[in-house]
Amino acid sequence: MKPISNEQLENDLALFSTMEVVNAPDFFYTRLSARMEKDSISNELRFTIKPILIICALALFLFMNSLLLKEDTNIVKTNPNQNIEALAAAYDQNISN
Amino acid sequence: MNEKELILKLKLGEEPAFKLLVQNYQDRVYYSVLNILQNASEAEDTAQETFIQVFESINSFKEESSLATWIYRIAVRKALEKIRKQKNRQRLHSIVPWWMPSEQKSIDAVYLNPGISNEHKEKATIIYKAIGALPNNQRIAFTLIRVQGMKYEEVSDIMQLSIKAIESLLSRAKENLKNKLQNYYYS
Repeated sequence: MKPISNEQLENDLALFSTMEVVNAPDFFYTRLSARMEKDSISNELRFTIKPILIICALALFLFMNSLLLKEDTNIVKTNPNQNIEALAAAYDQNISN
Repeated sequence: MNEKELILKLKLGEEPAFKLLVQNYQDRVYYSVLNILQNASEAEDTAQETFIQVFESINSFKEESSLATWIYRIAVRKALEKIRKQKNRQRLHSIVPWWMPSEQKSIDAVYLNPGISNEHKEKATIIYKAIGALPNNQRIAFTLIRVQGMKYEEVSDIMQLSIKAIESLLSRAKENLKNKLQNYYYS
């Protein structure tokens, strides 16, 4: 199979010279401005929501941290002998001197 | 209102100026991207994205080229992005067919420009399919010059390539088309 000739191609492409120009669909500007408005609202929302989300995440992180710290100090505050005594009691042992 | 005044008003963010710009260029931009993308809904979407980009970056327009060339340049870039995304989706679909079942429709879709007369519809469909299979730069140069009837100088400004490079793209596109269309003639 050999490629078609230049003449044949030019004949085929001549159909584009008779082609009518197609215009943009009706209400193009209306749809465009609606899209731009929607985009700007979602952008605004994104910029408003973003700091709120960051602050919430930070607050949650600090809250969890403070809870863990509180628990840690509670463990430190308990008498270390209490744990040993409880263990000894579980095995019926006596640790008193 | 002349072009300078229009640009000045656009830079000031005046909405009536933007409306005027869209009304002046919407048909030309839509027709160009329609011929490049060969899909009416994608063409409208791309034309809208072009005007949004124009609105957002008018302050960076240095007036080194005409406003029309600058707008066309954005439109062509947006159309290229769409083609690339489309090709990526089709590639992914060929690897994993069940991933995007709707993509098969876009592969099988037959494009017919509404401006083509009835007697040429069959031939036009085949030529459009062959143009759609050209490499991106050849597709754009060929569409703008041969389908849309733009001048070499205009296309050279839009694609930011020398006239010689445009001529070379066009000649390669024609060779490729001749090879692609032989199946139609000899089948």
